[in-house]
Amino acid sequence: MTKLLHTCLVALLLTLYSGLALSELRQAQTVQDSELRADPSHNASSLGRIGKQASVMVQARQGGWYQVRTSTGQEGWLPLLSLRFVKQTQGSGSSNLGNLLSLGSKAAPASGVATGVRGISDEQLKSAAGSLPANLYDLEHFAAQPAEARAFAQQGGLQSQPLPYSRQ
Amino acid sequence: MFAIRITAQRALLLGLCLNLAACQGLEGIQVQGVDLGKLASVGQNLTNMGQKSADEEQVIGQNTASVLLQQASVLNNQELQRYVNRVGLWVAQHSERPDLRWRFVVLDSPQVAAYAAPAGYIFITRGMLLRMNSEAELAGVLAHEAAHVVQRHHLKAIQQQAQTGLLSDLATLAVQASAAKSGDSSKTAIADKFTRSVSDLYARGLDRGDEYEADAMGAVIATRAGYDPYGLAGVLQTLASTRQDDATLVSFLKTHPNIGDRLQRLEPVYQHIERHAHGSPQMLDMRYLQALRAQ
Repeated sequence: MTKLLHTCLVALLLTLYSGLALSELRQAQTVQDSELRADPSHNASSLGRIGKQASVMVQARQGGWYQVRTSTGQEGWLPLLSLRFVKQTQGSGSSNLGNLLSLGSKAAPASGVATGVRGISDEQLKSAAGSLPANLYDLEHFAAQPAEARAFAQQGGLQSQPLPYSRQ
Repeated sequence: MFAIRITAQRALLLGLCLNLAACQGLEGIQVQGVDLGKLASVGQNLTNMGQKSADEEQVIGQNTASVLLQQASVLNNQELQRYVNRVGLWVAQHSERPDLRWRFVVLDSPQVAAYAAPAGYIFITRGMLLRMNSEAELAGVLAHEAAHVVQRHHLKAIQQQAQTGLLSDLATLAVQASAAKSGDSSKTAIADKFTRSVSDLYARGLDRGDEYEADAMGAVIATRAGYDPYGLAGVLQTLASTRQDDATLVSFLKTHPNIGDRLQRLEPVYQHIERHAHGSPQMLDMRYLQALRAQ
């Protein structure tokens, strides 16, 4: 009973959590003219027009929208696809790592300097007990069953919907 | 819901084929000018052909996965592997091929990579997982890979690379390759052809058109599964902001079209999704973070 309650609570929390704050402020540039909106919606009131190649700081994302602060200190929402992040000045990987799929040579072991976007380091994620010998048999071991996937989706509040592909 | 609808359609088609196939001895019998005997044998062939090519794809997929796994290692984290399989299967069930034997594998590599093999094998590296923010982003990438499987992009490309006209010829090559691996040296030369074709393809990457198509389909498939449609675009945004000389990204950039082009081509797709999708899409970033932290 307690476990059920706990599961429900976690599911509820996960469902309610719809906005996504980025782990750090990130600098971005507009790639097209866009209206700065008061809320993350095309129907929200416009706070003014932002020209192409304007510099903004991205604070959070919600659906197809980024919450930004402009160089003049104005805050609002811009469409996700109207922005491109400015490239980081420091790389997160080490040099001379083998190409994962280069023939005859295995990828070089990680040097452990990469840090993920959410602050989890490559060192944390990499196998503590070494890699598994890779064969197809292992894959069966991890496979999910349809009922399991369904329950898991339900826990996360995921709801199926029919949607055709767009014709381009 | 979508998956169920598709399955029902398939069942109907299969039932029709089986019914026709069951009508033996109908030669020459005509109903309203239609030769039932001929129709029955067409049904029989359709059933056989469908099953045969599915079996061949499975054999080719298994051996492709096997070749790829020889050049990689699997992350020893059962919790995370199971998590990725659950997300992956849920997403794949919203594709046009829900009933494949979908298998998802986290590779123990710092490289940024995700790729699919025929028949439903999908690989993703820990380097790629590290650069994502939410389960919706993971779902977007897995949906992109599932779309490659649905469209048989790799299958067709391996077939072209190996210059085998018929799928059955490629399946035979694949079986011989696996026989050679287990010690039959007389088949080494043939085995090399399959292994080389697979390796060349994955080092070079698919055609750009296939990648754009998988992007457009992947965003839709992830949305059908209830995820925030912008997961895929979010990952692409992150990768675009990473230094392009980052060693862990070199191979990804070499095997995929320019990220800016991909984002631009996704724009009409997202307009379509915004117009037609409903409900409350999920990002599930906390659940994703928990899964990454589990050991």
